[in-house]
Amino acid sequence: MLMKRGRWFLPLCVAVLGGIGSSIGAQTERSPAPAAIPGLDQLSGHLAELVPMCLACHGENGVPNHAEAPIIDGQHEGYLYIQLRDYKNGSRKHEVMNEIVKDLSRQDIRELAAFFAKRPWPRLQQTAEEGDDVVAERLASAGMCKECHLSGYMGDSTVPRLAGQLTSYLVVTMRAFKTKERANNAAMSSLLDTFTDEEIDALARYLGAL
Amino acid sequence: MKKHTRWLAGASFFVAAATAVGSAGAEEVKGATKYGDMRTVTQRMLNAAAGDGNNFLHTNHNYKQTRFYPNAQINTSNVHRLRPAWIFQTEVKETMETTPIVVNGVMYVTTAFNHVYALDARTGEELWHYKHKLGPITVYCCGPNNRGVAAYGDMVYMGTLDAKLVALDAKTGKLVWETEIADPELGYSETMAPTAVDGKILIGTNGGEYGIRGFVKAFDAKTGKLLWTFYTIPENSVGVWATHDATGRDMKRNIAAEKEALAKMGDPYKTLGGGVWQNPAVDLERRRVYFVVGNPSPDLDGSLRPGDNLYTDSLVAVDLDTGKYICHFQYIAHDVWDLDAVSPPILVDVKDKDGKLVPGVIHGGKTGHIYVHKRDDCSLIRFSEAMVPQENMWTLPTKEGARMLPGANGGVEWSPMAVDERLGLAYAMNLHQPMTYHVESTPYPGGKLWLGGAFKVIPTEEQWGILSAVDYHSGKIRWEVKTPQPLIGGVLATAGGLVFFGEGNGRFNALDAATGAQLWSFQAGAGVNAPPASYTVDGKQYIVVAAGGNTQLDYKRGNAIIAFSLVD
Repeated sequence: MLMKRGRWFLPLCVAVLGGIGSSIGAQTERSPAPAAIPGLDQLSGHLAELVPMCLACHGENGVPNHAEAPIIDGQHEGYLYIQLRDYKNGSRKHEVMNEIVKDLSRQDIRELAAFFAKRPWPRLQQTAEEGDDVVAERLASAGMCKECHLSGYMGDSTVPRLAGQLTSYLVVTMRAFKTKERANNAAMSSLLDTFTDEEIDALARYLGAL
Repeated sequence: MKKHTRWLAGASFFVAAATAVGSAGAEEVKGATKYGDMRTVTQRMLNAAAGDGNNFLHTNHNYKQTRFYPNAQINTSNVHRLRPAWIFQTEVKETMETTPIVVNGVMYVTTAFNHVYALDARTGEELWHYKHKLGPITVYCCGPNNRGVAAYGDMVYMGTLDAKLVALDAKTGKLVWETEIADPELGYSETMAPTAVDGKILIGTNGGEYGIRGFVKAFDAKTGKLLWTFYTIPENSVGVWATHDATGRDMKRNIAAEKEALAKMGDPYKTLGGGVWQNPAVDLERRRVYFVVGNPSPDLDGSLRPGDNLYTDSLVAVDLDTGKYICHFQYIAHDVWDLDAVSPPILVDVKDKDGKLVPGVIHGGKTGHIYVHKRDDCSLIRFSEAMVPQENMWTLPTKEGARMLPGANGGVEWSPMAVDERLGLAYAMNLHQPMTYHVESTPYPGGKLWLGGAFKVIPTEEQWGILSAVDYHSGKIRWEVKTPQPLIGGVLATAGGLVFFGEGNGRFNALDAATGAQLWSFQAGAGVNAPPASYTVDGKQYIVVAAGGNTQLDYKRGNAIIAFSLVD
């Protein structure tokens, strides 16, 4: 069952978002960064205050708290930078993410991307279904997926790691590419438009289990 | 001549233009050591490379790019005794497209993600290792490749995935200077080896899949200062509204619709692509450089780029000292198939239409033809027989996908050809990889992949490779050898009457240059998809090649540099 984008983010994240304006706007009164999050003290103060909000959805230990939130811990810095940039300029639409990044500077975005890229990628222990590998290899061969996502689907720089990503997120985002609801990579949209929903689901399960 | 087809059995400078770093690179160098008899690479040595039976000084052996090594110690009669002399394993197990450069017994090789190693060419022992610190933003197509260094003076030079040019001390591997060639966030990246000539370092750019404006730039070898830029896309890119390709076939252009679009949107030159993926050939006598220019952006969607899209898909000559345009020849105007020009051009004397020997330039195209030009004015003398199947040319891409052969990888991809002028033959690596071409119009995405649709391999159709020996005086195929997988990597010919090339399945082969007969083969254990080289130290000739597989065709990855020599 495919969940509609944004539905879950609202109850979970808007409550957290209520603090965005005050936390960013009230830098002179900010509280010290929580020491429990490694590396947080390396961030500019207003960003350190923002990070707990990120973790509310993407998971304190890197394991997302909801089906449509991707793993961002250990994801490539270049990719995280580009996505945050796109949320800021509106070319990638998500009501919560667009709101969170709208007042961030380019430097802020670079800092955040570097911060999350340095955190360890979590292992989710997801499983695929029988036959998913056959479908995935056929699709990857036809679509030349590894030409960009590289060997083992580990990605590099501005190309995301797919191996071990949250399966439910992969399903949602690949289908969103297909329908162009996610419109910040036209080449991905054109390619995924040639795959069926069932093929996308199998590919997502295969990638998630890697 | 009838063609035969065979199947194979099985120092620091502080300047404004560049970031001078002095000793900052030292911490990145492991085991740096001085090598007693290393010589400076002089311009005289580079000029004389074609006849140098010891060194391998240029990516394509010499300025004419013939990839013909003049030592005959390893030859048709003894190649069966060729065995590995040493194997060096890099720390990067990923796609390898490097050509080893050898200077007086010292070898320089590169890996994916921009590592450089200096090795003792006799033993494979590591002398130093440089690891470029890549910036957070790299945008590149077709794998994190690097095709090697240029050696000049006391330095070696490398282009990087984050679009920088770095100069290293050849004795220690320490960074001397680095300079940004272009902004990587806009889709620029570097995988080609630079070319060093007369105090200049020449380099093109990747990015034809990202809406860049392509170029070739010349930098001062000592300081990194930019000397000149030739944009491969002129401000007037419209051209002559050519309706037929170089072979005379109708490309089914809708010129009226294009003219209407041009009137509405203006010249699309700022985002028109036109990467230069491989080294230019240098004509020292004429003070010219010849290179080929890649596809227009977006690859499959012509609706956003009316006109011939000059100088995409073209052979171009510019002045070596100024970068000023001299001449061009466009193979495919307004390309919507990415069947562009990538393999480095070669300067040889060729017979013109009257049978008279004239200075020529040849290029192996992704169309599967070798094109033969007059060097004077870039004009086309002839094109070869098609080396790969061609079907439904030129069928326009559709939303659902239109099948046409060759697929978008070629023909001859970036793989450099080799030439044996004694035989009048050019040796070309080809792919046969059927694809469907899908078009979908989308606006310029600001430095992201911009194909204007999708290429899809047809999984039910057979793929294979073919090495073709083409008589460039006539355009006829003399012999050809088929391989189980599409070929990518490059060819070396030697005075020993041999042709060396590798395959994705790990085989590295030697053929008789005159007949195509297979004389030797070695299983490297990972894809051999890099151009071979040869060198001679202490009187012993070696053949060397990288076996690291290939991202573009997803061939098995490895991390080996393998040098071969004759056993008794």
